Amino acid sequence: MACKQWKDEWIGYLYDEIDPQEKTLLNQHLESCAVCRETLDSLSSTRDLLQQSPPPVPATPRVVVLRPTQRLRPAWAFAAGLAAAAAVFVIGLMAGQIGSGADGQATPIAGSSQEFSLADFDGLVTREELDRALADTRTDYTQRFDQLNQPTAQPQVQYADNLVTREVFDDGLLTLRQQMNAGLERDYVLILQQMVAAEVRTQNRIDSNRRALQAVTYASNPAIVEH
Amino acid sequence: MSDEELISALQMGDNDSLGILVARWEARLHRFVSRMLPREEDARDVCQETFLRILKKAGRFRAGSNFSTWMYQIALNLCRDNQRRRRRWSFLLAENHEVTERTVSRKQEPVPDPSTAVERTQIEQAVVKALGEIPPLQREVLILKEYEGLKFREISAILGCAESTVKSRMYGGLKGLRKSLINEGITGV
Repeated sequence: MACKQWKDEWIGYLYDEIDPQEKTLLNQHLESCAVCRETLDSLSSTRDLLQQSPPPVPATPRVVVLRPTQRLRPAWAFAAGLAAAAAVFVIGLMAGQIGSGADGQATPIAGSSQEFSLADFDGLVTREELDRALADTRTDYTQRFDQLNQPTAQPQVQYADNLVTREVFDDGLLTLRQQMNAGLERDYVLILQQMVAAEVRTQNRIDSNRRALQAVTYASNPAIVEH
Repeated sequence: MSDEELISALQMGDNDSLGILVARWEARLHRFVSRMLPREEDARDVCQETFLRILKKAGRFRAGSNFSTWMYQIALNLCRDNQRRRRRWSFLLAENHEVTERTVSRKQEPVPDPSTAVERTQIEQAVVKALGEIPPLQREVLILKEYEGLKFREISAILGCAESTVKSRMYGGLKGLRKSLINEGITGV
């Protein structure tokens, strides 16, 4: 391993941006230290390669300076706001539908226990697909809660067309709650998918418009122009 | 007129001064930004945006400051913003998953030995790839030092950090680059 006390000086030495006194001392050290010489040689040869084979650069386009225009609120923000509002409505509807549990206490929906990564998204959805999925979820759970809306004091409760025991009913309620949590997580992913789709679509459109504008500008006037 | 005098004129409302600054710096700025960003369209956007910001913020340029330092700072921040935006949606933008290889026609005399030309192109591509693999902070210093020819003092002013930090990043960058190039089978590193 090369000598640590000279580590801070190697780069300065390599580019000849080093205090003359330090340079003299380092030169003296290099005469006797093969490891430091080898380290400097490897840095130097890497540098030589960078200089001999610089990354290619395309021809410079002429720059056209355009006056900045007024920016409207980006389209993605509208999409995100509407999607977020839809999510709040769905969650609120579900929370309102959760009535008393077996012990008579209000039972909130369990929060999502899953951390989503972008890899969870297996596709993007349109706004129409999102609206349909959320509406289906609302309809499904509304119907199920109607069926379960029974007084809690009875030993047997009416569930669909059957009379069931209290135990069976509670199990059913627990299962429904778990299914609703899973449904909420699924809806959350759907909402995010739609928000991402909207932003990417909008940004792509903005990029495409800017490129088209630049192409027209470059073609029409090669001089530097301020509009 | 010096760059700083042109900025002063711009501050006084002489917009033609910007045209002179652009003519003076556009090639160099484009070269720097092209090496920072993999996509040519992004490099052109950043160059244009840099001059636009110089126009908008000319009033904030302090007397006694160095114009090129200011210009590089603006361009570097725009490059970082661009890379951050691209990273955020990289899982959706399929083209970012591919290694972008620029095929650029070189404006040089024909190389008599075709095999040398092929070898040089391969090394250039390997350098581009290796630069893309080292940490961004090291890449910035490498490009500013090796290809823009700035002094460490100037780079530290652009980046707003100590010279020792700049040299440390340079050392890390050269080491990382060397390792990548060796992995790519490039000899003589």
